Amino acid sequence: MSAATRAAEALIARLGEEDGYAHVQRLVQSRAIPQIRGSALAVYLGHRFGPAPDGLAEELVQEYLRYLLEEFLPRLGEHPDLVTAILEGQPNKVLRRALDLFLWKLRDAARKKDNNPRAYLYRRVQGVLREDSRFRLTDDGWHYLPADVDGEPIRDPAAFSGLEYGSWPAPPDLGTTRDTLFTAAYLAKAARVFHRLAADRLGPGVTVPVKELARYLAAHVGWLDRLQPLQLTDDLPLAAEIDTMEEQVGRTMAMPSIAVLAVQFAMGMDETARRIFYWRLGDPPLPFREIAERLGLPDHNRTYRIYSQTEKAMRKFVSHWSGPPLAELPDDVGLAFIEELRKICKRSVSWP
Amino acid sequence: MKKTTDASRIVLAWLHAWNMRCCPPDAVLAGSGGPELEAHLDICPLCRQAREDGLSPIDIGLQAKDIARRQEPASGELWSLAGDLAGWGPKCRYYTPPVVLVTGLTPDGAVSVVQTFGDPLLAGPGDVPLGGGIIGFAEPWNRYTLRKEDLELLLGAVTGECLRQVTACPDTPAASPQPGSLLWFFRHMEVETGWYFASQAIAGLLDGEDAGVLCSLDPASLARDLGRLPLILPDGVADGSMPTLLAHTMPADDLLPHAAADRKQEETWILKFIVSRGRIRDVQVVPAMVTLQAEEDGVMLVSGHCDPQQVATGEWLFRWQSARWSVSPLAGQYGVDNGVFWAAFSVDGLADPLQGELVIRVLVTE
Repeated sequence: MSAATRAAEALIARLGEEDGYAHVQRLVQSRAIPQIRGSALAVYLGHRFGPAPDGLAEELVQEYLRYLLEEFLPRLGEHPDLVTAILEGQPNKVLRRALDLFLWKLRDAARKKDNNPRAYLYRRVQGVLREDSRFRLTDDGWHYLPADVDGEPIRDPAAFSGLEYGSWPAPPDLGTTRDTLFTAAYLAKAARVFHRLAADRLGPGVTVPVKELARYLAAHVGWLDRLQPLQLTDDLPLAAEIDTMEEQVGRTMAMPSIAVLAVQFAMGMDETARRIFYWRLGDPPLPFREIAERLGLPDHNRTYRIYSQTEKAMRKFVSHWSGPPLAELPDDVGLAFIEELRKICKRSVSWP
Repeated sequence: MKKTTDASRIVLAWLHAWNMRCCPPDAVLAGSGGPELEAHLDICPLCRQAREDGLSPIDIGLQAKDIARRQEPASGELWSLAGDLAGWGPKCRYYTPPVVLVTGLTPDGAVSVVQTFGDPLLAGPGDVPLGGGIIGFAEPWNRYTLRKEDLELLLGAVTGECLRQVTACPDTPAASPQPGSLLWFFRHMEVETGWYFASQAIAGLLDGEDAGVLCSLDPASLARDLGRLPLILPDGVADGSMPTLLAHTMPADDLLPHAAADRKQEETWILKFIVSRGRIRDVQVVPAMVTLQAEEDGVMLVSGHCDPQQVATGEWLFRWQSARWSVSPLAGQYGVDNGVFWAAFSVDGLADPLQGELVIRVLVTE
């Protein structure tokens, strides 16, 4: 019997013991639920599993176990490094890895046009408007404005909340083909119509949240909110990823570089630290006293302390990077790291 | 249409790579901790999160050593390394043994290997897919030597085509990743991982701390060979070792560039020794720049650069040195990459560490 089979069988047997299920339950609760809470995937899973948060977690545990036992572990032999990890006292590392891959598969499935047309539409709108010079899309991809609108843009996403688009004039006619909705020409037309309707109510310079455009279309196109049952493909995500080495290398060389390390560092920052960091990295930086007021903290000492702790942690993180020290890398590496970190922190500020 | 990989897939791949290479096993992570774990948690949000998850370690009642069979490794096989080689090491990391591809064996018990990695998303130029139903790639730019007994568990075999490609590959890939790119960071992490295990093996194989060109030098004729060159030798060195002798050997004035007498503080030079059949035949001075010298918490970090062409294939020796003392770099905390060099020294306990300066010697085989 191969080492992979023995490792997989030993892990399956262990998970089958009395406390095995509770172990997996705890893993899903602590790692998966925070990741998907509030995401499009949660909305999608809510439709599938029912709205109760506990029900969702329970269904996720079951689904993850099925994935683990029927797909991941039977094919463990394809991953000798994970076999070793199981046999060298790191089964939890492997269970976490399997959970990440499982969630990725779910996310992938939930984004497909046929499974979840509205989520697909949202991303499609961003893609179309980004390419179309007649529109200006904000850097984060969340808001747009027709390029020919004069005057100062007004950004007030809260003004859109609670608007009932069902009573608004309908979007341009789709004709007989349902997929017309996803074409660039149709979406550009619809984006302009929706902006005009919004501008009539909220002012000509209003920037429109992309998700409101999607909500407007869904209010008039009934099938957009109809979700199909989730269909997972049979392939392990890693196996499915392999095409040819040339294609793979092409992708790897093009990969976003320093951004990933910024994500890694930011994982260790809580919301407060992210906001303080964002405001301090602004030009000009906000004074600590003002940050304290914005965060409702009693005085500036605490904001200063959090900022210096974060800065110290960042210096330590950077000094333990692989390879030579930061001072020997091109200047733009450090700058890009800070800029990426700032972008990540900005999301915490923009969307409390 | 050009395919793109979702950025969050890359994030996932990188975090997994970091977790596999740099993070401690479940029991260590869940334990009461020690200074090494504390230091690791400072730089690793993944492990901080994992500790907060409160997941207890699982004992599956089976370890690699229970099912390992004593068998001769062969070229083309994938092996895990013995679990007891794992441990805390440089840069606050817990070094977990990688899976390696055996590429050759010698009669004296040494095994040539190439390191492998399991997620093709991090493959780059020069990497070779493992094939044979195994996902991942071999890293021909990351070869090293191990002892036969370091190999523990046979995990499979790659295709003949993979082995052929890996054997035919040059050690240095034609296209290097851009400095600062994620692939560049990943490859450095892979090399640092390999170094941790290779250095343990080399120490065992040679029964000494030095290897390679330095080890091949003939100690009996070293001082005589140096004496024939335009060099100033020290009167004697405290520990009598070859590295210390080389570190204290200075170029005679006529070897130095004219500007050297009033050189700027950041300008320095490297002594490059040309070695042939165990004897030093020639010496050259290679100009270099020190761009960083910083002391923090008792560690002096120095880095700089020189023309990579002049010292491309050499073996480097670093010291932080004054007239009274000479300090070797911390284990694993030095390196060279395309002309950029760096080294960290523990200067705790030295009376006046700032009196020291960076000394670099490079040995190049003719």
